[in-house]
Amino acid sequence: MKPRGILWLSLALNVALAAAIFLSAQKTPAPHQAATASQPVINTSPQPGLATNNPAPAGLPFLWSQIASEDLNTYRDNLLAIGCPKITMREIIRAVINERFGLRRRGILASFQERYWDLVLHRELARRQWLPRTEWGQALESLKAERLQLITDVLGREALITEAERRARRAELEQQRSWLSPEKRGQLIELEAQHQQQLVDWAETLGSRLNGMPTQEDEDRLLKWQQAFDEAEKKLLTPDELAELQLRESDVADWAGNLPGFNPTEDEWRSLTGLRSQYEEAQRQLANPDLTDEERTARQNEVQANFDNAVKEALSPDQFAQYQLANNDQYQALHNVTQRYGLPDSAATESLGVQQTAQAQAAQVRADASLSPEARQAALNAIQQETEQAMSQILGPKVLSTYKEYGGDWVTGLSQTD
Amino acid sequence: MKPPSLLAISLAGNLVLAAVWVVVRQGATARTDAPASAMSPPATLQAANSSPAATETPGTVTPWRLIESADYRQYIANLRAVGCPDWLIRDIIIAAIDDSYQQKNKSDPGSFAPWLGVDQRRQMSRSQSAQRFALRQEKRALVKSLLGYEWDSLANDVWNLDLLTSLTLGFLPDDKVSTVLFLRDKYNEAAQAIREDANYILLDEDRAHLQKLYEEFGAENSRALSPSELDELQLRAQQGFLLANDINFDGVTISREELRELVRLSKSYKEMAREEFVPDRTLSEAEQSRQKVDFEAQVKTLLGPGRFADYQRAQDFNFRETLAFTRQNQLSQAAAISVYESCRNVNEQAAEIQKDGNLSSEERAAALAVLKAATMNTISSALGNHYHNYLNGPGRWLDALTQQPEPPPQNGTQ
Repeated sequence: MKPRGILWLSLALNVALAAAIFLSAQKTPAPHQAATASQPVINTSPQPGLATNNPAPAGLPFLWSQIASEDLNTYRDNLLAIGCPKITMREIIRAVINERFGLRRRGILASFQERYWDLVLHRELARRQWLPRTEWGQALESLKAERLQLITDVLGREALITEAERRARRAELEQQRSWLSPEKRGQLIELEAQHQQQLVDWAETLGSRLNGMPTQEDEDRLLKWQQAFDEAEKKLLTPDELAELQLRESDVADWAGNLPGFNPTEDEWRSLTGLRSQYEEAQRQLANPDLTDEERTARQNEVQANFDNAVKEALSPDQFAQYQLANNDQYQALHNVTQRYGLPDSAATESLGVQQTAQAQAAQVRADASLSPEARQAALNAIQQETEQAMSQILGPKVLSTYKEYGGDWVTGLSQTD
Repeated sequence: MKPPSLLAISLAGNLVLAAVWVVVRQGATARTDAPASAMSPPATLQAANSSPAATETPGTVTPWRLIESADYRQYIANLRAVGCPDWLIRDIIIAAIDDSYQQKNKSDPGSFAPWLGVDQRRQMSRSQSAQRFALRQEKRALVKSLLGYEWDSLANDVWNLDLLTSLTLGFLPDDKVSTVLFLRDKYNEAAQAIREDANYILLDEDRAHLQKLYEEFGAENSRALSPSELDELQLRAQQGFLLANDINFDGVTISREELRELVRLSKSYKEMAREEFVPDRTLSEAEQSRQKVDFEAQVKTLLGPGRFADYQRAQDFNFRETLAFTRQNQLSQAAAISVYESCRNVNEQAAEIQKDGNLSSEERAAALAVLKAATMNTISSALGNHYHNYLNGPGRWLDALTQQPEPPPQNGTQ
C-alpha cells in the first residue's frame, strides 16, 4: 500500500477510536448511590437459575414474587437458585412457616380467650406440666408438632434450631475445651455432635413404637455406637488429653464452684478432683447388696475418713481449714453476707464461732430437765441477747440485720424452747 | 507536513486512542460487574457463608448478592425494592442481627476454668453479665432504629412456644404481644442484673432501685397499651395470686367479672408482678394472718355472706375431695355439703370426747363408736348407693374416728 493510503487508513482509525471512546463513555452507567442508604442499590445482572415467565422489571435482579411459592420446596429451591446462602434460606423458610402457622395459632388462641377466666377459675393454668393435656394446650401442641415436622421435611432436622443457637452451643463447647488445640477441639465437637445425633435417632425410634421399649437389637446398636465413639475419641486425643478431658468433665469436677471462700490453685483442684472421683467410686461400691447394714456403715465411715485424711494431706493447713469452713452451710450464709458488705473473711469466721457456741449453749439449756419452763425460757433469752450483742459487735447492726434476713434467723430462734 | 510525518503522528494517535478506549471499556465493565461496597454480603453472614450457595460459582455475582448488604438499612431497602413482604424483611434482618450479636458475644465464655472458686466465678460472671447486658441493649436499640419498633426473637419464641404465655397474652394483637414481651424481657434483665450484682442479698438501695425499675416498666406498658388492655394484662399477671395462696372456688358460684374483681382486690394484699421485681421481705406469721383477714373481709363484701361461706368451704381440702366424689357420681352439690358439714361436726365432737378427762378409755371408745354410727347414717342418707364407695375413698377418715389418741409426751424430754 502507498504511504498516502496508509495515512488515510490511519486517520480513519483515529476517528473510529475516538468515536468508540465517546460511545463507551456514554454507555458506562452512573456510579451507584450506595451511600444514600434508604434507596435500593440493585443492578440488572442476569438472573441465573430463576425459572419464571414473569421477568423482573429493569433495574431489579429479581422480584420476590418470582421466588415465593406456596410450595415450600419450590420456595427453598428458588432461593438457592438465586444464590441465597443456605443459612439465610433456612431463616426465610422458617419465617414463612412460622407466619403460616401463626395465623392458625391465632385462631386457636382466639377461641380460648373468651374462656380465659373460666380456665383460671378451674385452675387449668395451675400446673404447667398439665397444660399440654388441656383442650387448648393439645390444640397448640399439635400445631407445634405439625410445624416442626414441616420444618424438618423442607429444611432437614438441623434446621430445627436457628444458626444463632447452633453457634451459641458450639461457642460454649469451644470455650469449655479451650485447653485443646483448635483443630482437635473442632474435631471432638463434631464427633460428639454425630454421637449425639445417633442417640437422638435411637430415642426417636423407641418413641415411635407403641411400647417404647428397646429390643436387644436396639441395645446392641447403642453399645456399638458407644464403642465406636470411644474408639474415635481415643484415636483423636492423646492419652494425656483424654485423661484431662475426663477429669475436667467428670461429675465431680465442678466442686470448687460451690464452696464460697475457698479458692484452690489448679494443682489443688486436680488433687482434690482425683480424690473426689475415688470417693464417688468407693460410694458406688457401698451399694453392693451383699453387704450387711453394719458392714456398710463401717465401710462408709472408713471411706469418709480416708477421703478426709487424703484431703488434709493434699492441702496446706491454712487451705484445709478454709476448705472445711467453706463446706459448712452456716459459714456459707455468713460469708455471703459479709462479702456483700465487703467485710473481711475473718468477720464470717468469728461470727461462726459465736454461732456454734450459742447453739451449743441453747441445746444444753433445752435438754436440761432440771430447769422449770420459766427458768429455761429466761436462760434462752439471755443466750439470745448475748449472741445478738456479740454478733452486732463483729458485724455491725446493719450487717446483722441483713444477715438475719438471709440465713441468720437462727439468732432470733435461739430463745425458742423447742 | 509531509505525509510520512503525518502518518507517524496518526499512528501514534491510534496507539494512544486504542489505549484510552481499552481503559474506558475496562472501567465501564468494572463498574458494571463489581458490586458496590454496600452490596457485599453482611459481615455477619460472611463468616457463616464460607461455602457459597450451590448456584454460585467463583467470579459470578448471584442475584442474591446484589440485594444483600452489610449495611442493614441498605439490605432492608433492597429487600423492599424486590417486593419482599415487611414481616419477612423483619425476620431476615433480625436473624442477621442475632447472628452478628451472637458472634460479638463470643468473648463471653459462659464457662469457667474448673478450679476457679465461687468468689472468682462471681466476679467474672458479673463482668460478663454487664457486657452481655450492654450488648443486648445495643442490639435492641439497633433493631428499633431499623424497624421502627421493638422486636426480640427470643421473646417471639416464648410467645410462639410457651403455652401459658400464649394463652395469657392471646387477647392482645400480635404487635402488642411483641411489645409487652419485649418490655418484660428488657426490665426483667435489668432487674436480674441488679440481683446478680447484689449476689441475691438485697439491701435497701437495691430494693429502691428495683422498685424504680418496676415503676418504669409499668409506665412503658401504660404507653404501649390501651387502658382496657393494660387492665386485663395486669389482672392476668395477678391471677397467679390464687395459685400462690391456694385459693379454690370449688362449689362457689362466681361470675367472670367477680373473679376478675377478686383478683384485682388481691393486689393490695400482694402484687404478683411487683413481687417478681422486688421480692417482699418475709412477713411474720402475725402480719401474714392480719393481711389474710383483711383480704377475706374484702372478699366477703364482694361475694356477700352466703357465697363467702361457700368460698371458705372451698378452701378446705376435705370439702373439695367430697365435692369431686359427688360430681364423679352425679350427685348433687347439696349432698357434698351435707357430708362435709357432718364431717366437720363429727370431728369437733370427737375432739371434745378425746379431750374429756372425765371419761375412761372404755367410755371414750363407746362415745366415739356411737358418734361414728350416727355419722355413717347421715352420710349414707346423703350419698345413697354410693355410700360404700365413699367409705373406701374420701370417707377413710371415719376409720380413724374410733381410734384412741396417742398418749401425750412426757415433760422435759423434747
